[in-house]
Amino acid sequence: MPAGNRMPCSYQLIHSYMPKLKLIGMHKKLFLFLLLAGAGKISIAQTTDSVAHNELDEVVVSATKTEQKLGNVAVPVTVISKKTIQQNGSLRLNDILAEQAGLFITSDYSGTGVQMQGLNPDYTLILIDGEPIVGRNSGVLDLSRISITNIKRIEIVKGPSSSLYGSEAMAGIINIITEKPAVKTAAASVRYGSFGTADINASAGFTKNKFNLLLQGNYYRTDGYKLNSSSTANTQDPFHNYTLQLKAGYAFTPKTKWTLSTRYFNETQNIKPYSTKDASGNTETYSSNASIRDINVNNTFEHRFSEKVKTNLRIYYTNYKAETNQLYLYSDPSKNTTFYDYFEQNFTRFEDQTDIAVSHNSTLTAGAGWILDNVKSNRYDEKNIVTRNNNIGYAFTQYEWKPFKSWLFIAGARYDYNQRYESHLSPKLAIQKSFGDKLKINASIGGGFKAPDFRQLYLSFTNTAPGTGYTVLGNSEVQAGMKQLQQQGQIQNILIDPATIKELKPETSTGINIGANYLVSKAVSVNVNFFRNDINNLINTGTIAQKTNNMFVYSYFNINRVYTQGVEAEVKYQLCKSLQLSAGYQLLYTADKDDLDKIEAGKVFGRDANGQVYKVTKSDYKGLFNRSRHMANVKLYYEDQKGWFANARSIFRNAWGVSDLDGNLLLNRGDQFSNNFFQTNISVGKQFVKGFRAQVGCDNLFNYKDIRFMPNIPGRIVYATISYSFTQNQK
Amino acid sequence: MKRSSQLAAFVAMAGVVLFASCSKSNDSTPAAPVEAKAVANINSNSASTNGHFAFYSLERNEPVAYTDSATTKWDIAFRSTVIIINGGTSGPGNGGAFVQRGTTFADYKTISADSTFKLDATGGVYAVTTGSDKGWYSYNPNTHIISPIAGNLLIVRTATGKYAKVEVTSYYQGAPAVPDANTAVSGYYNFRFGYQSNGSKQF
Repeated sequence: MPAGNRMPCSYQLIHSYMPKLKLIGMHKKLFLFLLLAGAGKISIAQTTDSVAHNELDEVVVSATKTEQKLGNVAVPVTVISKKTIQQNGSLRLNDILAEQAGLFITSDYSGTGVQMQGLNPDYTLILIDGEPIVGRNSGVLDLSRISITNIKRIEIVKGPSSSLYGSEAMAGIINIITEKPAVKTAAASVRYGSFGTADINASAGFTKNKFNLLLQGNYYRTDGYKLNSSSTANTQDPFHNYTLQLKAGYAFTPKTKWTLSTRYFNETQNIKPYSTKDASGNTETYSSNASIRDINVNNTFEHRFSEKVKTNLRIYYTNYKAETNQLYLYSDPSKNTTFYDYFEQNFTRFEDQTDIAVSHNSTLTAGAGWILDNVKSNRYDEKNIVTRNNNIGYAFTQYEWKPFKSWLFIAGARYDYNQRYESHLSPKLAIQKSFGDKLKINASIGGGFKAPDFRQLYLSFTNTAPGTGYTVLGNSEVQAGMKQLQQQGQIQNILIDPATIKELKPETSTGINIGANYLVSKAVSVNVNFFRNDINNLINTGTIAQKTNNMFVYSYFNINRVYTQGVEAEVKYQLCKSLQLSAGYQLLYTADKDDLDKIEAGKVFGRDANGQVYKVTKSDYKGLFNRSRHMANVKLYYEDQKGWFANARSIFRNAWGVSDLDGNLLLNRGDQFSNNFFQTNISVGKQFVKGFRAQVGCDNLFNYKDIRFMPNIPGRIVYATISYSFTQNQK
Repeated sequence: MKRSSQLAAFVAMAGVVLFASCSKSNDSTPAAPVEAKAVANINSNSASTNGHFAFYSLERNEPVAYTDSATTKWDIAFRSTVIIINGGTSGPGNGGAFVQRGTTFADYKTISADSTFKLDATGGVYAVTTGSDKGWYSYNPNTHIISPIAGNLLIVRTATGKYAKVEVTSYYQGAPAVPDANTAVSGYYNFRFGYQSNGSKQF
């Protein structure tokens, strides 16, 4: 239910059978009390007759770091409500993002990430209540770490947002807004489905006088799956994880509030030994133990000096730790190998933000912060776990001004000082013009940047897995690392003199978004946004030397200049009171500008499917790898007064470039492309009075499988959920 | 598909050669196009060559035993991604080579007079530059596949001082159109070449 539509006493309904449920840290009697108190006071979520209108009134916080109505932020923002997440049956963050137009879920050994406006997962900042999640693997933050069954909503801001959020917010940000404690709340849910996948939730909270508390727990487990039945190895091995969240608040006075928000996540994946035989009949036995742990602690003090001045002091700490132990056993024990990986990141941030209502039509926001960032890992040294530090200081400001009723201007800038690389200024300007109540035109231009990460600076890694043997050296390690390899006699041939390698600079971008929201009628809304991102100094790997084993030594360079541009459109149509149809589409063009120059100069050749060599022209060039030119979705939602709901959602992505086959290192006709991807998900359920709810669903109804290009799609998933929820928002 | 078109190209070329050889040539017209010859699956993996290179004679279009490595019987040799030429520090021959970028096998007809043939030398310096995107191939760190660079030819002076153009077409056994790093067997050279036996720089 949209936030703008508050009822005096509303009960949101979530979940289920209580018998086996244990609520952590909560007294049984209290829970029983809550259960009884809720009975007989239930009202069913109202269906809205004009979704489009209500949506623009919804309050969001991510676009401007201040509370603003969605219709007044002048930049492209998408909000996914708790109701949508529930009705879709989404469990992890990647589940729901996969159904949004213009978001492309990527999946590889580094995890499940999201591509936004055609930019890689490295360039989207993922936040929980405005605080960043850390622990990226090769630039990818694994979205499946984040459970979304207990959250309030997700806000997605597209386009460069570094003017408020700094590094990594080049493509945009995804901010997960968690639930706030209510007067009394209790909820529980159990879901079970295909592949032995279970998801269990419980939460309870209360507000008493000046104090409030909310406890939430989630447990997730899966048996994994195997797409290749003749293989002994699973495509996805079984794993389980749990998330615990505690939120507490205390209002010292009506003007001064303290909030504590903590989260603990733990995932374990133990792969029992299994054997495979190589071509010569030798047995190889593989086993692995892996764990991931996340801790987030956020302390916020809010003080309102007057009606016009408010300040927010935030002290945030997060720790991410990932450990992997792999063992390869062979029939010849002398060949046995182990692989151990340790990565830990500690991120501490102090930030203060002050909002000042300068006049009746203008607001000034100013903030500053300091970040202590360090990693401990064996990826930076062959034998030991070593620590690398970085300190970042920043200040930002933003001015929102509404000189006339129909004009809105937002100007902002952020300056980031960084101990390890050059400082950076990120400006942004956004303008909105309203034409009556029906049409709003938004235009914005902003700078984005991404600092080189610890990996790009400090990695010192030699792959010892069979058939490899290459070395990667970070920018700061390249001279020492090469010297060591040379002393060990491992270098055959130097291709780039390490002394000439320049310091890495931040990757920078300029992004333009021009869009319109148009309410065609009470039942139809159209949303269109054109975007263009120009990125400079993109960091990529390049070879610097050849080793005596004929493998290469790689390092990182600021080499590429790329652009992404396209248009995103969404149409919503309220067919009748209980039925809504929506359709989304993104058209995307991308290119490496240096590759385009080479093609124009006639220097690039390709090999077509028949093995014929040809001169590549602009029309043969297919842009950056791993991008779909067309992405679309169609969704139909039904919801009636009796509590029944049903939906069907289809998503489509056309084939994307997978790999270069003709050695020219760019994507052209004749290279390898994936298949078109098409998936339909359905779900049906009923919200009963008294807070109970039952739901069954089927994801990937037509059982789409593609072991080569979409190994993260297991096939058809059938599931059932029962839940109970009770919320009392006011006394 | 790839094979049959290569065969078609071969037949077409052979036809051109036959046709051309029927017409009377004189000194002012370029020499007849050389025949394109395809060579498949030369195993350069050191396991199969006992650590030696896999030697090949472009003149006779046949493999040469490593025991003849100190002779001028071979012109070009392969060991994993490294290609050596019979000359410089690699052999007693008169061989040399350079990598010609940005052309096609069919279009490359004349070695220009200002071309410099490089020699294999000590310290890992080869006439055919080694390294990804430096010489004849590029390595894809995501797929771990080595692909010959389209449009790059190896222009070779043979052990006996004749000229040849060489195009590597695949580095995998059986030259699969889309090699899969998990199943494709690497180190197998598939290439085609044109050998000008008359000593001229025309193909």
